[in-house]
Amino acid sequence: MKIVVCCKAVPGAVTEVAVAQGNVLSYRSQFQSMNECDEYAMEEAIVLKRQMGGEIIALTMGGITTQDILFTAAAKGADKIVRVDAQAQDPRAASIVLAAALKTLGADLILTGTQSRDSLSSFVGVATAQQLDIPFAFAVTAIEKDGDNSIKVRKELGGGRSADVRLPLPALVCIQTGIQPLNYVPPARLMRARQQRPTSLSLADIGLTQDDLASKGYRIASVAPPVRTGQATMIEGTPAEIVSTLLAKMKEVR
Amino acid sequence: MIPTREVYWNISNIWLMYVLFCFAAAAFAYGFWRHIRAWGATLPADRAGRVGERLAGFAKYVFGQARIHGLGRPSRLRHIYAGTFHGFFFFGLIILFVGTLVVMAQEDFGLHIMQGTFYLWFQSLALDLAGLFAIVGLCMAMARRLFFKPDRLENTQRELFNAPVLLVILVTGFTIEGLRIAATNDPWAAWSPVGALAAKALAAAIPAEGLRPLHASLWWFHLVTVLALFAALPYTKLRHVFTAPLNIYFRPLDARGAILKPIDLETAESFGVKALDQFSFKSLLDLDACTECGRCQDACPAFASGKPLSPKKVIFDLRDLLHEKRDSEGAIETDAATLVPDLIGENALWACTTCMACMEACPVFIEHVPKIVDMRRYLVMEEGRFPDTMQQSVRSMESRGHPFPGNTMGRLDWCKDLDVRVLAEGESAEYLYWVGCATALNARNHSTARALVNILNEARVDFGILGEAEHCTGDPARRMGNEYLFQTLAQQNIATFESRSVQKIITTCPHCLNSLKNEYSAFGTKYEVVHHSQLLADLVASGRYAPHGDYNASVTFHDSCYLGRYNGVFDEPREVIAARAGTSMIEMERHREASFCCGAGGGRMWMEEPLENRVSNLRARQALETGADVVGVSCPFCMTMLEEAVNAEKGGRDVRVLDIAELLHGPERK
Repeated sequence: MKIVVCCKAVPGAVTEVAVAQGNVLSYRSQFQSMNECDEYAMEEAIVLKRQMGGEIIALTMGGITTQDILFTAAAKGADKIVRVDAQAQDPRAASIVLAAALKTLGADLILTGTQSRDSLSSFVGVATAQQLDIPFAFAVTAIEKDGDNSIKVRKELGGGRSADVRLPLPALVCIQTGIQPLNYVPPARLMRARQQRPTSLSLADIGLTQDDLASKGYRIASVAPPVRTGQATMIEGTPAEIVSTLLAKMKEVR
Repeated sequence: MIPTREVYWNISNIWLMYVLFCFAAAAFAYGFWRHIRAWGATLPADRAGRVGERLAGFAKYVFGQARIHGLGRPSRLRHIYAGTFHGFFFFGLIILFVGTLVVMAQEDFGLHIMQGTFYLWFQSLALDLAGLFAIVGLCMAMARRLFFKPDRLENTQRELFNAPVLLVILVTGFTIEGLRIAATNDPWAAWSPVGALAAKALAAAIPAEGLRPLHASLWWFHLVTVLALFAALPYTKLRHVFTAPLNIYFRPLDARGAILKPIDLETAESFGVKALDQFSFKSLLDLDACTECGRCQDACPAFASGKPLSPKKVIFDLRDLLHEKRDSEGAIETDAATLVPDLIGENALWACTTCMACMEACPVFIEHVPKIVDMRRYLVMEEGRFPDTMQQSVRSMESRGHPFPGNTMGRLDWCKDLDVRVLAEGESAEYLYWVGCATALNARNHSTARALVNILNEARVDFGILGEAEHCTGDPARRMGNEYLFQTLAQQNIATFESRSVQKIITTCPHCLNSLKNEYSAFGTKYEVVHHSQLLADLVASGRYAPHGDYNASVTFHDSCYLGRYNGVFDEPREVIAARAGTSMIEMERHREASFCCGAGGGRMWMEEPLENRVSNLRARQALETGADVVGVSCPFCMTMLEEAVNAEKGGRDVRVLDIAELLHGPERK
């Protein structure tokens, strides 16, 4: 089984968030990590490989700095790490790039997370399956082999229900968080993983041009800072005063 | 007639003594040779050199016994009874040993010094009194073991053997002397008062013709006992006679806060300590220097709160393993068992708050905390195995630059309406106020920062903050054993400092203080870092700030570990409290060097603790026992821990927990 895990590098604490030229977000961040939802996909891939054998390829797209998360993937257990050298904030463009890369790499099973922490579009996984014209399932909590050429997955439904779904391979599965426990990557293993060189694919390598990345109508107009709604007030004074203030406040609310 | 006595009087076949001595010396030498081989020969850089300082400490702590009696230290660290009896037999036995050397010089090297005034004053009187004091000391020690033993001591069989044997040696020594005096009618008997007394008693009890045979047989018995003890030294805890002074000589001389040494991530082949043979020279010497006094355990907050950690047991277990895993030539088996969890449980390892109370209490400078961190380093760096809640904190440091998972507060929330300059790249101020995550991201600590900033503004101190550009110093990561993350964060922060030409830093958090001051310097930085207590004390003393109005309250002050024991700042916070008119100070029993941790250090802030037995609740009870109205703190972590604990423990009383900056500024002013 050849499993490709699509993972995204997301920023940690960001500052100076703004809309920059070309209607994309610009920000500063000193921290970057593998998107947590994708990390669950990676953990599931490791379990699947242990059960069925095969190889795991970790795939990401972005500038040179994003390859950091590939070392995390390698430290976790990816056999091969690949970065497509392309920048696309538009989720649809991202799916076009990933689909092209996946065609080049070839895969029996493609795993992604359900969403990314930064843009929260929950779109790229599904759209990539569409681009590749293969079956997919979203919010999957379990995967098992079902004969030679298909898998059976359990996916979440509304109201806490779930459904078992059969998918012929190749297929794409968006992994729900919590499918496996996240294992902390020991720094020693991470440092050793840094010795290897990720495969770098240019747009030309996967048969695309810069034009394919052009935003398909998705344009960020403005960005607003978080609104803090928490209004905890500490009531001070003697216990008697605190109680009377509290009662007064309760009456006020009622 | 020149005063002297005949050496080996009444003893024939003295050659036998030399033969016996050779056997004992061989056993002694073999024992120590194996110890020394096991410790290894490589001396870490921070333990070599600085000979003058090392010798000065040697004089103070070996001959001055400064940490055994603890005179001049807080009462918890003072041990008058033990200090007295140890001093009695320490000096007593040294003088007796010198007496033996004098005999050797006289007989074996032909130096005729054992006569005249020297014979009377030293070889007779001083030795007699030394023996007497040693006996008194031993009796005091045995009485303690038998009748009023502190819990920290264990009466193992080995333990109960040492003092009686020494006592037998001393008592037979006096008996031999008494028999000789009685049999020879020694004209200088008065110079040996104890011997003379023994002579009188023996002469009365034994017929004259029985004195000589008894003397000869007792003399040989005494000799054999002495040589047996000598041969056994390396194999019992009495080895500390040699190993403890050695350990004191090689004690850490760098600032306490710089005791954890950085790992060279580029060149290291493995990280932390998995097995015994990875410990350094001093770490292994520590194990053989232990005197089993148990003072570390007595000081340990983890042990006091029922956690499965005793620093004493850690040392015992490591030592026993060391002795078990050595071959006949002293080399440690390389496949010796994995220390954690085979020897030391993971729960014990993670229970340490790194508060340094154990190391402060140890009379022979054993270093427990670095060993614990070394073992943590292995678990985290090599295996990624550490408690879940700590993992979340580490992930948060990695991805968001602060150790509080789930926290969404902004780093500037506390000062929105205050006059505080945020330094952008290229800007600078005289002082950088390093707010710290625990202050900026925890609403309770905002008023500490606000009080400080108001005072600084009033005193016209030129300062700025970093705002969102500030990130965790890496202190919790380092204590948890994640050296990689610590160094990553340190490098980032150092770059931020450089871009603002930072030279002087104020911190409200002692953990930040310690890292910035003592740990970043390993990366070549040279900042002047002060805790706000130091700056405030300075501002008050120089008259640049005068507190507004009175605050009538009795205050007890909780010394945070990383400010006090780590950085020696004890007086300044008290000066700040005293500067506020109306306050009066009541000290807790455990204060200054003997302070008791709040429970948050060493990454324990991010561990769940069972409600009934929290370190913080123990500390809160100690604070409440003083009857003070206010518990003064100077650390945002201590604030979080103690405020919760004091509220849980105070019952109906009105007790507040306040930072010293809030106290100085006025808790009622916002």
